[in-house]
Amino acid sequence: MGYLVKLAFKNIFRHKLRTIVSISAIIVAIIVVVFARGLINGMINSTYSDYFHYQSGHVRVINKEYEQKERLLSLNHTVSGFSEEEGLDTMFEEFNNIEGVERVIPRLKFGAIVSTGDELVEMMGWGVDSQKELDFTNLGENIAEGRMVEKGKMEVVMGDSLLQDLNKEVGDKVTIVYNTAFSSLKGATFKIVGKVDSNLKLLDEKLFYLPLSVAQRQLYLDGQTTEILFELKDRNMAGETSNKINALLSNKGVADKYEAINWREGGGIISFFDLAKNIYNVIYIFIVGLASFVVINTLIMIVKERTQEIGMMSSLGLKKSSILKLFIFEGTVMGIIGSFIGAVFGGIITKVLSTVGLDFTQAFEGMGEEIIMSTIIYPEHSISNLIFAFFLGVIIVSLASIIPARRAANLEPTDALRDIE
Amino acid sequence: MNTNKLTKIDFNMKLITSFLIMIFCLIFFSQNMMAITAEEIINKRDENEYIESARIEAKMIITNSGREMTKEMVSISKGEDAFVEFTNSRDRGTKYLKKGDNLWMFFPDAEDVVKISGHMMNQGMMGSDFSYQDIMESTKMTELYNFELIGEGEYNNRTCYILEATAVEGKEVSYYRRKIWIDKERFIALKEELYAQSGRLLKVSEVKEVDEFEGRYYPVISIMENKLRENTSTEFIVEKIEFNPEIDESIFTLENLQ
Amino acid sequence: MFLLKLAFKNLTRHRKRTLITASIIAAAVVIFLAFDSILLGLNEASYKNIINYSTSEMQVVKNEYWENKDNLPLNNLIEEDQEFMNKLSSNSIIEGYSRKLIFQARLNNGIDELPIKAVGVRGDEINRTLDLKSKIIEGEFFLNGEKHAVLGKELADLMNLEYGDYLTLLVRTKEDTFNTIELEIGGLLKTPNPEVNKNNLYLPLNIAQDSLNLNNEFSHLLIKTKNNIEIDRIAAKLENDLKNINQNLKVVPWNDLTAVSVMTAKQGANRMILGIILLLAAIGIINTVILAALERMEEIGMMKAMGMKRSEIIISFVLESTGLAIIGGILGCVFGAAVIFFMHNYGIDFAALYDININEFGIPIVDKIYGAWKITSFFFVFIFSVIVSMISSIFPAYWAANKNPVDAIHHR
Repeated sequence: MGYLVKLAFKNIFRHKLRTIVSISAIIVAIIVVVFARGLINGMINSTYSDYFHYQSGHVRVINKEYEQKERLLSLNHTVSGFSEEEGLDTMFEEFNNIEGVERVIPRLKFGAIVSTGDELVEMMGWGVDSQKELDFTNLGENIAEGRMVEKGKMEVVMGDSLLQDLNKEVGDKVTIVYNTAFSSLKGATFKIVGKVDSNLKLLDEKLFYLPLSVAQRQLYLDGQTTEILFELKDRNMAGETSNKINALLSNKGVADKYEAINWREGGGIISFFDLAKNIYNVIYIFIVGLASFVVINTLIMIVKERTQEIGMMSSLGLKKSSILKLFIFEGTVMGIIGSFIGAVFGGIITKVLSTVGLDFTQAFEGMGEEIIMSTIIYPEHSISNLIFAFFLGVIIVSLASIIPARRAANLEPTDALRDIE
Repeated sequence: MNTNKLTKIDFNMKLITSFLIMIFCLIFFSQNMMAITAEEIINKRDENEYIESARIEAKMIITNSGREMTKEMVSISKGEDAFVEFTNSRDRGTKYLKKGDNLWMFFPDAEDVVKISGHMMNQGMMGSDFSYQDIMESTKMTELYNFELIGEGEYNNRTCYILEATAVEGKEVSYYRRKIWIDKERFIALKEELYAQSGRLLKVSEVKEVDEFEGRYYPVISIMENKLRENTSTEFIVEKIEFNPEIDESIFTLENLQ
Repeated sequence: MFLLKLAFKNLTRHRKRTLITASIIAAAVVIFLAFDSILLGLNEASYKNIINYSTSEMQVVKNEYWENKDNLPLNNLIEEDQEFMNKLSSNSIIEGYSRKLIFQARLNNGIDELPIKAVGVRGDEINRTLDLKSKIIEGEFFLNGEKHAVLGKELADLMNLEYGDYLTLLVRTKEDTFNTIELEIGGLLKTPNPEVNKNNLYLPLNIAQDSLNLNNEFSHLLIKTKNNIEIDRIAAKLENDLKNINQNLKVVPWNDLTAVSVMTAKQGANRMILGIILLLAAIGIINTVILAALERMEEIGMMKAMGMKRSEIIISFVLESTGLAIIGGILGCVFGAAVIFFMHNYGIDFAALYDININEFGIPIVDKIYGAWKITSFFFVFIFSVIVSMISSIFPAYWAANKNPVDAIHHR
């Protein structure tokens, strides 16, 4: 057995050129597989995560009537706690205690305008808990200038396009006017302390952040918020967790007032992504299939070329099964070398691109701002991806070598020797 | 002898005729004196209600689909300019300045003044049923509407002239047609129905209380009801009013807003 | 030519190898075409969303109107006159047209008011340009002058309104005077376009014009046209044609609007994936050619020994590879066409395969995805594979042709 392996090695290194060609094919195929998978996963994951961060959370608790009035950014249907005694803070505490909940993130959304003298610019304000936003989303990375707002201060953070529309910069002051919960128009001056450049239209063009307590005070919504998002330890447990939350709401007697919605039920783009993910998985399998096809072809040709050699070995007494094993070993060894190098190079390429990203901003020009999809795609770089590709390569190549190996093993010595292709 | 009799009859005829003529004239002229025109009614009403300049302390109770909110304000107006400052706790410090066709707002938490224009003008002020545009309209009604006296009626036990006002063609007014009940004695509009061009009744304004100030009458409690939405109305209460006070022109400046 | 014959002979001689390599090329071609077709199908579907339910292929407006269009103003409208209408009917570009008057309105159900977009259209015309009638799920579209409204079921639900209910539209006329339009809900819609479902209310054009104090004026003319690939060019031509009607008109193709399209957004990434597929095909080809060259070393040596020039050997190899590519390309295109044919006519029923709640959001797939035909893709992929084969065969051919005949013949 051992000697077969040695023979396999010898054969490989004997016909250097041929070996190099075969291994190169494997390397390139594996690189392509690693990159494709990284790109596809990167794209899908970033869309999912943007959606979770800025729209639905893993689970979302809102006032039942709010769902319909959301597009008006109504302030009449808020979440204010379980009762008079058990207000918003108690609610947060109890929510945090539910199994599987990592973080509870409140947001107060409202409509606002700024008068630039010539025109009125419409925008949306989000009253938030800064620390929670930074922990939950990738907002921190997207703050291109300045910093996030500090609790209780009259500060705002705005998107770069929005700042451009208003002709303002970080450090300037801006007077924002909004309709309070009591339908009175109210305005206040804030200091712009940060600029967001996120490649998400929503964040860059429409939105501004301010501290939750300030928003509550200005809008006369103390102790209230328009929605509460949940970050779970495992997002696939969203269905179960939302059931638990609904049960809690029921216990507290507010089940007819509030409801918890998990991300799958939210509708919107996310269900489309489930679909897209599946399309891409199918494509991905095709790509792998194509790569293996290439490899099989290569091996068949190799066998063909060595027909005489095989005949010789056969006539020298090498058993059929040994010939079979020999060729399979050769294939496997080439597979291991090729897949390893391919995985390494593929890994390097995806690692580089995962930091730099592929800029598709041009292609996304006409997209609306409600769509939460980043314009720069970062392929996903992960060791598991590399390991997966490596084993995939080895297994497929080994399996692929069975076909030519069997052919080789079944050759009649006399035919083989005679055969001059 | 015969001539004498004739002359006597002639004279009597003349006497009777001129007497008849006199009575006829009396009746005719007195009819005219009694018949008041729509134009005159409105002008008399304007004498009471149209404000050249005044200082008013008022309260507005706004009911919107059942939710109630109260605003209190002080307003100083002269001709086309007006200055309003809110005094209720939630809105304290908020000020509006109208100068001609422009409207600016100042909020206590803001460091500069905000100019309001465009479609925002059509929104209800402070959530009430009076839009900024409505409040801003300082043009006299007679310039915007054609008035017709269509009869008399009773409102709240008071006899009223009923006038119908139709928008003058081409003028930009919010309500195409208005039906107005004007108190015959006091010349105050006690009730007003505001109609859309389609004939649909949009709003009804009713005066609950009228007071007299230095020989002139003024409505102190009135309610505007939105007929298109249930439970939606605005009550306007004048707590104190001073007509033609001493007004410093500098009140109507942006500087005064801040 | 002798070389051609040689190449041909070689191909037929090693039939199995020829077939296998050609199959790789064919497989890559099929996958490329299928993926491309699906993407295109999705793209088209989402564009159709806008074209069929909102703007048709082109819209005619007055120049000044377009600058202010977001405010839905009631000035700078198009005046209808007979000469204008006649000109439209006779224009060859226009397959069908219909009038549209869009304006702001507040939908009032007695309790709440919601700002919406009201669209005045003619019931007898609308079919020429938009596909709204077929999307009515309850009731029917109105006839001219009928005091009926048609709106999305989503919008109706939001306002707690049902088929047969009465609603009031609060509007402002041209003179900014309040006016109301009372309508009975005559039909409910469910289109694949969420904008339409949530924001639009349709009513008879003449009722809208009367209520706004407009005399036979409208804001947009919707134009349906045959060919929509070069829509910009067609729009420009139509604009030119209409120049002699002195109404200062502008023709806006549908893609001029900030169209919301999920699939356009992913085009960049998709192109990359297509590129990957082609790359793999290229690898397959290169690989095959090199191995083939290696395998036939002796042959090459023999040819050289027999006096064939180096260049001739190279050419023969290149021709062979090209032949392989042509065969593979043709096979791939044929199978690809079959796959696309199936997808185009029967669609892929993704909803059945995966449990998806397709509801919101510009998702044009109601239940199936349909493939789209794009002849240029076929040409592209065919030519691509041929060129790649040719180029990739040159190097190994060159290298093989350079070998010393003696070494070559003894090559093992």
